[in-house]
Amino acid sequence: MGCNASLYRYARSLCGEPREAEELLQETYKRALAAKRKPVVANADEIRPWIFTIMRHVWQNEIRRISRAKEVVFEEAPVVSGEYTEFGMTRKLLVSEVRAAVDSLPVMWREIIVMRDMEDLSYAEIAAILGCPLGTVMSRLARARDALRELLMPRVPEVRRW
Amino acid sequence: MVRCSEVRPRIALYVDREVTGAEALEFEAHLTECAECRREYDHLRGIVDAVRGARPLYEVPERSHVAVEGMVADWERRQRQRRWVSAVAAAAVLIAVAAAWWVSADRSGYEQFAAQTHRNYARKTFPLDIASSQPKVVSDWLEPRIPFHLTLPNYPEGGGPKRYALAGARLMQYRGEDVAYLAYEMDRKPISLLISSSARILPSGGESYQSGGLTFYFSSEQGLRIITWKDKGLTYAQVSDLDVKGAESCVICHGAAGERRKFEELRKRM
Repeated sequence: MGCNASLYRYARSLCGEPREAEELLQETYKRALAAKRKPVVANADEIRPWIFTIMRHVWQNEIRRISRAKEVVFEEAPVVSGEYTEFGMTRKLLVSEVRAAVDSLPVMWREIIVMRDMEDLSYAEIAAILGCPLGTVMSRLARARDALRELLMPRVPEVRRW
Repeated sequence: MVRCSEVRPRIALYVDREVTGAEALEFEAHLTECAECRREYDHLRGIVDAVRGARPLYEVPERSHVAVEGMVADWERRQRQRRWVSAVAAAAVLIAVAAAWWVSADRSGYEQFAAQTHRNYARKTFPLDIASSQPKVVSDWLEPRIPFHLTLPNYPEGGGPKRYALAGARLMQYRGEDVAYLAYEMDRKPISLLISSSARILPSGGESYQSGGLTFYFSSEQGLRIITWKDKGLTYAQVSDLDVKGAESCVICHGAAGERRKFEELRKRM
């Protein structure tokens, strides 16, 4: 079950607060390790839909105990290793801004952004975790990205690859 | 050529690599020719790239890593212990089954069965299947009917006077196992000898004595002397009301010098 980085990010998207996310992460591992039936997978990534689903159930069940404070607590921005090149500075700032934008989203949009854009889960996997149709995943993701665009577009230049 | 109305709702699918193959190629071809769709695509691509460029977005705190790794390590240790306990439990079950089999083996009834059989024979309520005083005749009759080879000796060896005589034999069953019943007579009194090759029928009785590498069990019941023992895979029970000591009753038949050694110890102790 070597996917605790992914799982922590998902926990952060659900809780919005580091301490709560750590507690949720540990509780999820506790439940997953105690599960009588564990999926047999070829690599750690394949176990994510199963363990994400457990985490979401834990979070839903204990949602009253988990703080959903509107106030966003920022961690120190990740330090880009190596020299502070122009690109590195740009990226460091961007990480802070993107994180602030993602953190400010409602949880239902935040979690889908993390699952799709941080963890690369497919629409089908996300639908299985959320227990909703693919169409709901697509519409919710579109709304979340629209909201992020509103928050970030003044700062982020368009990326043209064509 | 796909239309814009078909492409627009599917831009996110393309960005998220949910469409591949021919559909993706069609999509790309349309984007090179349609500025409106291209602009929509670029807007979405820009926001998605910005978000993905911020990966991993949240760093796992070191203490959380340590806590989770500790939990997994504990779990793995418990799994190893559980596997070990399972192996021990499996071994315990095997031992229990073996013990049950051992207990189910007859350790406390064969001598009583032999005594009852002897009484029935003595009361003439127990006919023999074959009546003959010739050991070879009885052996030949038994041979195809019992699951073990039995050659009745013509005791005493050496051609001395016989104090006893073979009367015949009968096939019996004890708890589903074959038993050969042999009837002898001495001084007009019956002597019964029961023989079985079943591993579930074991010698039993009151006191046990070691002699000549064998263990003999002696018991008395309503004036009968019962001796049981096991030798070379066969379990024997001898019953009589002869007025001799237990060991002496053996020596009557097994009186040859080579065999007397088996009973020397018994004769000293009984």
